[in-house]
Amino acid sequence: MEQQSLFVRALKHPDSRDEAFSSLVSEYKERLYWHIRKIVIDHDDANDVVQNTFVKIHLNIESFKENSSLYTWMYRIATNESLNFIKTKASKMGLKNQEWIESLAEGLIADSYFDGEEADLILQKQVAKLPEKQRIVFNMRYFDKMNYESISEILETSVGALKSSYHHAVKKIKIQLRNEI
Amino acid sequence: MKYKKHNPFMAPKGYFNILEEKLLKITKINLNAYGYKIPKNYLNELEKEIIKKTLKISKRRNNKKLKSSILALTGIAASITLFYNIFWSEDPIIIEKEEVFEDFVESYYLEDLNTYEILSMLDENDIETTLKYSSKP
Repeated sequence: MEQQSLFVRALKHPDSRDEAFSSLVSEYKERLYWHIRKIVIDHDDANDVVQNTFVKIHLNIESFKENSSLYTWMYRIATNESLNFIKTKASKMGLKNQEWIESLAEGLIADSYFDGEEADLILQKQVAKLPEKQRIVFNMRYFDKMNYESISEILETSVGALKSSYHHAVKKIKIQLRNEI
Repeated sequence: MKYKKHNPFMAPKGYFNILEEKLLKITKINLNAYGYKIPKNYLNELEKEIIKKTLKISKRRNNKKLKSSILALTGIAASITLFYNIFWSEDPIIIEKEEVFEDFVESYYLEDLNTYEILSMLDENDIETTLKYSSKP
């Protein structure tokens, strides 16, 4: 934690900000990209969101009060940015968020940046059918293997609610997969 | 009876080499998120792109700070000048009507202007007041 404080101080200080930020980007770019990619599905969209996320981190680092870890704070920004992005994009298309995500998942088969097997494709389509919150919890728990405490900090939701969310998500996917196969 | 402290558990031969490979594989699968791909060299380019964007923002931010401080300094300088002029400057020069008239007459003589030339220098309002003035008994 002390090491984080020093790093945050370096990020906030004008003389060391650029260098510290550069190492922050190189440390977290991949993790944040994949977190965002699983929420927004499309690579180009993920690219926009990850860049906006880092710009937001850069702009707001001075207001980071260290009530949570830097990693959690960054994940929270990335999650919110992704959800806002989906909302904007879906409303531009005249669709609901869920409809937009489902249409993206349907198009994965033709996506040049998706090379999963049939089972991966089916799973992604089923995940896309989940309500927004359940989908994010499922992604973080199932794909990223994050523990409930970390997810709880990022999504600012109680561990109990998250467990129930994940349980419902798994149940729905199981039923859907049974019907599909 | 003496207790010999040793680990009774065993692991298969070469297990830890395989474990490392396995763990790396798991991490890779996890990162690649079950089928999702990214363009070649994307992550390096992404880093450059982000740094470029944030540097631009920093520059803009610094320029804004500079501009606002210049503006603030200009404002302070203007206020000081105004304050000085109001409270510390010498009495303003008050030109009496007679003085103006004298100047006028003086230039008439000195520059050898004729009445028409002086008339052309006056605008209509002046002529009117002059006429009104002269029409008084």
